[in-house]
Amino acid sequence: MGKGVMFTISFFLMATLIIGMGMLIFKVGQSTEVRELELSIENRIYDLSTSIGKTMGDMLLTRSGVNVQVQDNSVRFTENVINNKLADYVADANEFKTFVEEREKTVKLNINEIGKTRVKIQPYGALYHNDGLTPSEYRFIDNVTDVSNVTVTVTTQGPANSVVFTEFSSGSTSFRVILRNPEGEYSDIKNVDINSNIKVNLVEKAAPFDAILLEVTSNNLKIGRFENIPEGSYNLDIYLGYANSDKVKAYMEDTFSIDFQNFNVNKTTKPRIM
Amino acid sequence: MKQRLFKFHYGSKGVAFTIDVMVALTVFLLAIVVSLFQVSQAPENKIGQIQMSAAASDLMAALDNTGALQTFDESIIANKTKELLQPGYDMRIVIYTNETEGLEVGRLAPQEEFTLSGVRYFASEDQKGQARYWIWVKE
Repeated sequence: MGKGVMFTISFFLMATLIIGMGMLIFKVGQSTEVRELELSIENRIYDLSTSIGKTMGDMLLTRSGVNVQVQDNSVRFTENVINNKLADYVADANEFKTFVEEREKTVKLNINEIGKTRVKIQPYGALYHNDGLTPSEYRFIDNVTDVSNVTVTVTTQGPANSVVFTEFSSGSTSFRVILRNPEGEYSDIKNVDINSNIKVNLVEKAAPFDAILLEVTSNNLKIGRFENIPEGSYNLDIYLGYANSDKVKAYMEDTFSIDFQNFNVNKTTKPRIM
Repeated sequence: MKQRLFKFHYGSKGVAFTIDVMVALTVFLLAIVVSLFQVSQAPENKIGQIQMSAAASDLMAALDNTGALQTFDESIIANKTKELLQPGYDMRIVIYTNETEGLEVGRLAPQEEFTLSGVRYFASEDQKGQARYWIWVKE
Protein backbone atom coordinates (compact mmCIF):
# COMPACT_ATOMS: atom_id res chain seq x y z
CA MET A 1 0.00 0.00 0.00
CA GLY A 2 1.30 3.43 -0.83
CA LYS A 3 2.48 5.90 1.80
CA GLY A 4 -0.16 8.38 0.69
CA VAL A 5 -2.97 5.93 1.26
CA MET A 6 -1.62 5.03 4.72
CA PHE A 7 -1.35 8.68 5.58
CA THR A 8 -4.89 9.39 4.42
CA ILE A 9 -6.32 6.46 6.40
CA SER A 10 -4.42 7.45 9.56
CA PHE A 11 -5.48 11.03 9.22
CA PHE A 12 -9.10 10.00 8.63
CA LEU A 13 -9.14 7.76 11.73
CA MET A 14 -7.58 10.43 13.87
CA ALA A 15 -10.05 13.04 12.66
CA THR A 16 -12.93 10.64 13.39
CA LEU A 17 -11.62 10.09 16.92
CA ILE A 18 -11.27 13.80 17.55
CA ILE A 19 -14.79 14.49 16.27
CA GLY A 20 -16.09 11.58 18.39
CA MET A 21 -14.42 13.00 21.47
CA GLY A 22 -15.87 16.39 20.73
CA MET A 23 -19.36 14.94 20.45
CA LEU A 24 -18.90 12.98 23.67
CA ILE A 25 -17.85 16.08 25.56
CA PHE A 26 -20.80 17.99 24.14
CA LYS A 27 -23.25 15.24 25.12
CA VAL A 28 -21.87 14.86 28.63
CA GLY A 29 -22.08 18.61 29.10
CA GLN A 30 -25.64 18.65 27.83
CA SER A 31 -26.81 15.73 29.97
CA THR A 32 -25.21 17.30 33.04
CA GLU A 33 -27.21 20.45 32.40
CA VAL A 34 -30.42 18.42 32.00
CA ARG A 35 -29.68 16.50 35.22
CA GLU A 36 -29.09 19.77 37.07
CA LEU A 37 -32.41 21.08 35.84
CA GLU A 38 -34.18 17.86 36.77
CA LEU A 39 -32.55 17.95 40.17
CA SER A 40 -33.66 21.49 40.85
CA ILE A 41 -37.26 20.71 39.78
CA GLU A 42 -37.27 17.52 41.82
CA ASN A 43 -35.97 19.44 44.80
CA ARG A 44 -38.60 22.13 44.37
CA ILE A 45 -41.43 19.59 44.07
CA TYR A 46 -40.18 17.74 47.15
CA ASP A 47 -40.04 20.93 49.22
CA LEU A 48 -43.44 22.09 48.04
CA SER A 49 -45.20 18.77 48.49
CA THR A 50 -43.75 17.96 51.91
CA SER A 51 -44.31 21.44 53.33
CA ILE A 52 -47.80 22.00 51.91
CA GLY A 53 -48.86 18.47 52.90
CA LYS A 54 -47.50 18.90 56.40
CA THR A 55 -49.18 22.29 56.82
CA MET A 56 -52.55 20.97 55.65
CA GLY A 57 -52.24 17.96 57.96
CA ASP A 58 -51.17 20.10 60.92
CA MET A 59 -54.07 22.45 60.34
CA LEU A 60 -56.53 19.55 60.35
CA LEU A 61 -55.08 18.09 63.55
CA THR A 62 -54.67 21.32 65.48
CA ARG A 63 -57.50 23.56 64.28
CA SER A 64 -60.40 21.47 63.00
CA GLY A 65 -61.38 20.01 66.35
CA VAL A 66 -60.97 16.50 64.91
CA ASN A 67 -58.36 14.48 66.72
CA VAL A 68 -56.92 11.42 65.01
CA GLN A 69 -54.63 8.96 66.75
CA VAL A 70 -53.16 5.91 65.13
CA GLN A 71 -51.30 3.13 66.84
CA ASP A 72 -50.18 0.01 65.02
CA ASN A 73 -53.40 -1.46 63.61
CA SER A 74 -55.90 0.77 65.36
CA VAL A 75 -57.25 4.27 64.95
CA ARG A 76 -59.17 6.62 67.24
CA PHE A 77 -61.21 9.65 66.22
CA THR A 78 -62.39 12.17 68.77
CA GLU A 79 -64.47 15.25 68.10
CA ASN A 80 -67.04 17.46 69.72
CA VAL A 81 -70.36 17.26 67.94
CA ILE A 82 -71.48 19.98 67.16
CA ASN A 83 -67.95 21.13 66.35
CA ASN A 84 -67.78 24.90 66.57
CA LYS A 85 -64.15 25.00 65.40
CA LEU A 86 -65.07 23.93 61.89
CA ALA A 87 -65.95 27.34 60.47
CA ASP A 88 -62.62 28.85 61.59
CA TYR A 89 -60.76 25.84 60.25
CA VAL A 90 -62.35 26.17 56.82
CA ALA A 91 -61.58 29.91 56.72
CA ASP A 92 -58.01 29.23 57.80
CA ALA A 93 -57.51 26.53 55.15
CA ASN A 94 -58.87 28.80 52.43
CA GLU A 95 -56.53 31.56 53.59
CA PHE A 96 -53.61 29.14 53.25
CA LYS A 97 -54.82 28.10 49.78
CA THR A 98 -54.89 31.73 48.64
CA PHE A 99 -51.49 32.41 50.20
CA VAL A 100 -49.86 29.49 48.38
CA GLU A 101 -51.63 29.81 45.03
CA GLU A 102 -50.83 33.52 44.78
CA ARG A 103 -47.13 32.69 45.11
CA GLU A 104 -46.89 29.36 43.30
CA LYS A 105 -48.62 29.33 39.93
CA THR A 106 -47.88 25.61 39.58
CA VAL A 107 -49.71 24.62 42.78
CA LYS A 108 -53.44 24.10 43.25
CA LEU A 109 -55.08 23.16 46.54
CA ASN A 110 -58.30 21.22 45.96
CA ILE A 111 -60.05 21.89 49.24
CA ASN A 112 -63.66 22.54 48.26
CA GLU A 113 -64.82 19.91 50.75
CA ILE A 114 -62.32 20.55 53.51
CA GLY A 115 -65.14 21.34 55.95
CA LYS A 116 -66.11 17.66 55.88
CA THR A 117 -62.80 16.84 57.63
CA ARG A 118 -62.41 13.67 55.60
CA VAL A 119 -59.74 11.33 56.92
CA LYS A 120 -58.94 8.13 55.05
CA ILE A 121 -57.53 5.15 56.90
CA GLN A 122 -55.21 3.04 54.80
CA PRO A 123 -54.75 0.25 53.92
CA TYR A 124 -58.26 -0.51 55.20
CA GLY A 125 -60.10 2.23 53.26
CA ALA A 126 -62.28 3.56 56.09
CA LEU A 127 -63.28 7.20 55.65
CA TYR A 128 -64.20 9.45 58.59
CA HIS A 129 -66.20 12.55 57.71
CA ASN A 130 -69.18 14.72 58.51
CA ASP A 131 -72.05 15.69 56.21
CA GLY A 132 -70.67 19.12 55.33
CA LEU A 133 -73.71 20.96 56.66
CA THR A 134 -73.55 23.91 59.02
CA PRO A 135 -73.93 22.97 61.78
CA SER A 136 -73.01 19.38 61.09
CA GLU A 137 -74.75 17.00 63.49
CA TYR A 138 -73.72 13.66 62.04
CA ARG A 139 -70.45 11.82 61.82
CA PHE A 140 -69.81 8.94 59.44
CA ILE A 141 -67.20 6.29 58.96
CA ASP A 142 -67.63 4.69 55.54
CA ASN A 143 -66.32 1.24 54.81
CA VAL A 144 -65.90 -0.14 58.33
CA THR A 145 -64.59 -3.58 57.43
CA ASP A 146 -62.00 -6.03 58.79
CA VAL A 147 -62.41 -4.67 62.32
CA SER A 148 -61.99 -6.92 65.34
CA ASN A 149 -63.26 -4.41 67.84
CA VAL A 150 -65.11 -1.13 67.84
CA THR A 151 -65.67 1.15 70.81
CA VAL A 152 -67.89 4.20 70.56
CA THR A 153 -67.90 6.50 73.58
CA VAL A 154 -70.25 9.45 73.85
CA THR A 155 -69.71 11.92 76.68
CA THR A 156 -72.47 14.37 77.27
CA GLN A 157 -73.03 17.05 79.86
CA GLY A 158 -76.76 16.43 79.76
CA PRO A 159 -78.83 13.48 80.93
CA ALA A 160 -77.88 9.84 80.22
CA ASN A 161 -80.24 6.93 80.58
CA SER A 162 -79.19 3.73 78.81
CA VAL A 163 -77.51 2.06 75.86
CA VAL A 164 -79.71 -0.33 73.88
CA PHE A 165 -78.79 -2.46 70.86
CA THR A 166 -82.05 -2.52 68.89
CA GLU A 167 -80.73 -4.43 65.87
CA PHE A 168 -77.68 -6.56 65.16
CA SER A 169 -76.58 -10.02 64.00
CA SER A 170 -74.13 -12.03 66.03
CA GLY A 171 -70.59 -12.24 64.76
CA SER A 172 -66.98 -11.93 65.71
CA THR A 173 -66.54 -8.17 66.04
CA SER A 174 -66.59 -6.86 69.59
CA PHE A 175 -68.81 -3.77 69.47
CA ARG A 176 -68.89 -1.69 72.66
CA VAL A 177 -70.96 1.45 73.12
CA ILE A 178 -70.59 3.75 76.13
CA LEU A 179 -72.74 6.72 77.10
CA ARG A 180 -71.21 8.89 79.77
CA ASN A 181 -72.26 11.97 81.68
CA PRO A 182 -70.94 13.58 84.89
CA GLU A 183 -73.22 11.41 87.02
CA GLY A 184 -72.43 8.02 85.59
CA GLU A 185 -71.80 5.67 82.72
CA TYR A 186 -74.01 3.32 80.73
CA SER A 187 -72.55 0.80 78.35
CA ASP A 188 -73.27 -2.38 76.45
CA ILE A 189 -71.11 -4.73 74.44
CA LYS A 190 -72.13 -7.25 71.78
CA ASN A 191 -70.27 -9.54 69.44
CA VAL A 192 -71.68 -8.48 66.10
CA ASP A 193 -71.35 -9.24 62.43
CA ILE A 194 -69.94 -5.93 61.17
CA ASN A 195 -71.36 -6.65 57.71
CA SER A 196 -74.91 -6.77 59.09
CA ASN A 197 -77.15 -3.87 60.02
CA ILE A 198 -76.56 -2.62 63.54
CA LYS A 199 -78.62 -0.06 65.44
CA VAL A 200 -77.91 1.29 68.90
CA ASN A 201 -79.83 3.90 70.90
CA LEU A 202 -77.78 5.95 73.34
CA VAL A 203 -80.80 7.14 75.28
CA GLU A 204 -80.38 10.48 76.99
CA LYS A 205 -83.99 10.96 78.09
CA ALA A 206 -86.55 8.17 78.01
CA ALA A 207 -89.53 10.51 78.07
CA PRO A 208 -89.74 12.46 75.90
CA PHE A 209 -87.42 10.17 73.93
CA ASP A 210 -84.13 11.90 73.16
CA ALA A 211 -81.28 9.78 71.95
CA ILE A 212 -78.13 9.67 69.95
CA LEU A 213 -78.51 7.01 67.29
CA LEU A 214 -75.68 4.84 66.08
CA GLU A 215 -76.24 2.86 62.90
CA VAL A 216 -74.10 0.63 60.76
CA THR A 217 -75.62 -0.04 57.34
CA SER A 218 -73.67 -1.80 54.57
CA ASN A 219 -70.49 -1.26 56.58
CA ASN A 220 -71.13 2.49 56.82
CA LEU A 221 -71.28 3.83 60.36
CA LYS A 222 -73.39 6.88 61.11
CA ILE A 223 -73.94 8.61 64.44
CA GLY A 224 -76.07 11.63 65.32
CA ARG A 225 -78.88 12.93 67.45
CA PHE A 226 -82.32 11.55 66.89
CA GLU A 227 -83.93 14.88 67.52
CA ASN A 228 -83.16 17.55 65.00
CA ILE A 229 -82.72 20.14 67.69
CA PRO A 230 -79.37 19.54 69.36
CA GLU A 231 -79.09 19.85 73.11
CA GLY A 232 -75.58 21.19 73.01
CA SER A 233 -72.41 19.39 72.07
CA TYR A 234 -71.31 15.94 73.09
CA ASN A 235 -67.87 14.44 72.81
CA LEU A 236 -67.57 11.57 70.39
CA ASP A 237 -64.78 9.02 70.61
CA ILE A 238 -64.66 6.20 68.06
CA TYR A 239 -62.02 3.49 68.28
CA LEU A 240 -61.49 0.96 65.49
CA GLY A 241 -59.18 -1.98 66.09
CA TYR A 242 -58.39 -3.92 62.93
CA ALA A 243 -58.18 -7.68 62.70
CA ASN A 244 -55.14 -7.59 60.40
CA SER A 245 -51.73 -6.53 61.57
CA ASP A 246 -51.15 -4.01 58.76
CA LYS A 247 -50.19 -0.71 60.31
CA VAL A 248 -52.71 2.07 59.99
CA LYS A 249 -51.87 5.25 58.11
CA ALA A 250 -54.14 8.29 58.02
CA TYR A 251 -54.46 10.60 55.02
CA MET A 252 -56.58 13.61 54.22
CA GLU A 253 -58.95 13.16 51.30
CA ASP A 254 -58.41 16.76 50.24
CA THR A 255 -55.59 17.01 47.75
CA PHE A 256 -53.14 19.45 46.26
CA SER A 257 -51.50 19.25 42.87
CA ILE A 258 -48.19 20.49 41.56
CA ASP A 259 -48.04 20.94 37.81
CA PHE A 260 -44.83 21.91 36.02
CA GLN A 261 -46.33 21.84 32.52
CA ASN A 262 -43.11 22.86 30.76
CA PHE A 263 -41.34 19.84 32.17
CA ASN A 264 -44.29 17.45 31.90
CA VAL A 265 -44.33 16.89 35.65
CA ASN A 266 -47.66 16.60 37.42
CA LYS A 267 -48.14 15.36 40.95
CA THR A 268 -51.33 15.13 42.99
CA THR A 269 -50.94 14.37 46.67
CA LYS A 270 -53.17 13.51 49.60
CA PRO A 271 -51.48 14.87 52.71
CA ARG A 272 -50.54 12.17 55.18
CA ILE A 273 -51.61 13.04 58.70
CA MET A 274 -49.81 10.27 60.53
CA MET B 1 15.95 21.72 -11.55
CA LYS B 2 14.15 21.74 -8.26
CA GLN B 3 16.19 22.62 -5.20
CA ARG B 4 15.59 20.66 -2.00
CA LEU B 5 14.65 22.71 1.09
CA PHE B 6 16.20 20.22 3.53
CA LYS B 7 18.98 17.93 2.68
CA PHE B 8 17.83 14.87 4.65
CA HIS B 9 18.38 11.35 3.43
CA TYR B 10 14.63 10.71 2.91
CA GLY B 11 13.81 14.18 1.72
CA SER B 12 11.20 16.66 3.14
CA LYS B 13 8.24 14.20 3.10
CA GLY B 14 9.39 12.44 6.26
CA VAL B 15 9.66 15.72 8.18
CA ALA B 16 6.18 16.82 7.12
CA PHE B 17 4.79 13.43 8.06
CA THR B 18 6.45 13.52 11.50
CA ILE B 19 5.23 17.03 12.25
CA ASP B 20 1.76 16.06 11.10
CA VAL B 21 1.74 12.98 13.36
CA MET B 22 2.94 15.07 16.33
CA VAL B 23 0.25 17.69 15.81
CA ALA B 24 -2.40 15.00 15.40
CA LEU B 25 -1.22 13.20 18.55
CA THR B 26 -1.21 16.43 20.54
CA VAL B 27 -4.76 17.23 19.47
CA PHE B 28 -5.80 13.65 20.11
CA LEU B 29 -4.29 13.54 23.61
CA LEU B 30 -5.75 16.94 24.40
CA ALA B 31 -9.19 15.71 23.37
CA ILE B 32 -8.82 12.62 25.56
CA VAL B 33 -7.67 14.61 28.59
CA VAL B 34 -10.48 17.15 28.24
CA SER B 35 -13.04 14.39 27.74
CA LEU B 36 -11.89 12.44 30.76
CA PHE B 37 -11.86 15.59 32.84
CA GLN B 38 -15.41 16.49 31.81
CA VAL B 39 -16.68 12.95 32.32
CA SER B 40 -15.11 12.70 35.77
CA GLN B 41 -16.35 16.14 36.81
CA ALA B 42 -19.98 15.66 35.82
CA PRO B 43 -21.02 12.98 38.36
CA GLU B 44 -18.85 14.52 41.05
CA ASN B 45 -20.68 17.84 40.79
CA LYS B 46 -24.02 16.10 40.73
CA ILE B 47 -23.40 14.15 43.90
CA GLY B 48 -22.31 17.33 45.63
CA GLN B 49 -25.41 19.14 44.46
CA ILE B 50 -27.74 16.35 45.56
CA GLN B 51 -26.11 16.36 48.97
CA MET B 52 -26.34 20.14 49.22
CA SER B 53 -29.97 20.07 48.15
CA ALA B 54 -30.78 17.35 50.69
CA ALA B 55 -28.95 19.24 53.44
CA ALA B 56 -31.01 22.36 52.78
CA SER B 57 -34.33 20.50 52.55
CA ASP B 58 -33.63 18.59 55.75
CA LEU B 59 -32.66 21.73 57.59
CA MET B 60 -35.79 23.58 56.49
CA ALA B 61 -37.96 20.61 57.48
CA ALA B 62 -36.27 20.56 60.88
CA LEU B 63 -36.84 24.30 61.34
CA ASP B 64 -40.49 23.73 60.48
CA ASN B 65 -40.94 20.64 62.65
CA THR B 66 -39.26 22.19 65.69
CA GLY B 67 -41.43 25.29 65.36
CA ALA B 68 -38.48 27.62 64.79
CA LEU B 69 -39.90 29.01 61.54
CA GLN B 70 -43.22 29.70 63.23
CA THR B 71 -41.56 31.99 65.78
CA PHE B 72 -40.67 34.54 63.06
CA ASP B 73 -37.73 35.41 65.31
CA GLU B 74 -34.51 36.10 63.43
CA SER B 75 -32.15 35.08 66.24
CA ILE B 76 -33.98 31.83 67.02
CA ILE B 77 -33.97 30.81 63.36
CA ALA B 78 -30.32 31.85 62.92
CA ASN B 79 -29.21 29.90 66.00
CA LYS B 80 -31.15 26.82 65.00
CA THR B 81 -29.74 27.04 61.47
CA LYS B 82 -26.21 27.30 62.84
CA GLU B 83 -26.88 24.32 65.09
CA LEU B 84 -28.41 22.07 62.43
CA LEU B 85 -26.68 23.00 59.18
CA GLN B 86 -24.06 20.52 58.03
CA PRO B 87 -20.52 21.87 58.24
CA GLY B 88 -19.13 23.21 54.99
CA TYR B 89 -22.33 24.91 53.88
CA ASP B 90 -23.72 28.37 54.31
CA MET B 91 -27.34 29.38 54.00
CA ARG B 92 -29.68 32.32 53.70
CA ILE B 93 -33.38 32.21 54.56
CA VAL B 94 -35.98 34.88 53.82
CA ILE B 95 -39.45 34.49 55.33
CA TYR B 96 -42.54 36.20 53.95
CA THR B 97 -45.91 36.00 55.64
CA ASN B 98 -49.40 37.19 54.79
CA GLU B 99 -48.93 39.96 57.33
CA THR B 100 -45.26 40.99 57.32
CA GLU B 101 -42.45 41.87 54.94
CA GLY B 102 -39.49 39.56 54.49
CA LEU B 103 -37.53 38.47 57.54
CA GLU B 104 -33.91 37.83 56.51
CA VAL B 105 -31.59 35.31 58.15
CA GLY B 106 -28.01 34.83 56.93
CA ARG B 107 -25.83 36.74 54.49
CA LEU B 108 -26.26 36.99 50.75
CA ALA B 109 -24.74 34.19 48.70
CA PRO B 110 -21.43 35.11 47.05
CA GLN B 111 -22.03 35.70 43.34
CA GLU B 112 -19.24 33.39 42.20
CA GLU B 113 -20.51 30.40 44.23
CA PHE B 114 -22.87 27.78 42.84
CA THR B 115 -26.09 28.23 44.82
CA LEU B 116 -29.16 26.01 45.16
CA SER B 117 -32.47 27.51 46.20
CA GLY B 118 -35.87 26.28 47.33
CA VAL B 119 -39.09 27.26 49.00
CA ARG B 120 -41.15 25.87 51.86
CA TYR B 121 -44.61 26.79 53.14
CA PHE B 122 -45.80 26.66 56.71
CA ALA B 123 -48.44 28.05 59.02
CA SER B 124 -48.33 29.36 62.55
CA GLU B 125 -51.26 29.95 64.87
CA ASP B 126 -52.25 33.14 63.07
CA GLN B 127 -49.98 33.55 60.04
CA LYS B 128 -49.19 31.75 56.82
CA GLY B 129 -45.52 31.71 55.89
CA GLN B 130 -43.27 31.17 52.90
CA ALA B 131 -39.60 30.46 53.60
CA ARG B 132 -37.23 30.92 50.65
CA TYR B 133 -33.74 29.56 51.07
CA TRP B 134 -30.39 29.56 49.32
CA ILE B 135 -27.53 27.20 50.12
CA TRP B 136 -23.92 27.17 48.92
CA VAL B 137 -20.58 25.70 49.82
CA LYS B 138 -18.81 27.81 52.45
CA GLU B 139 -15.65 29.52 51.22
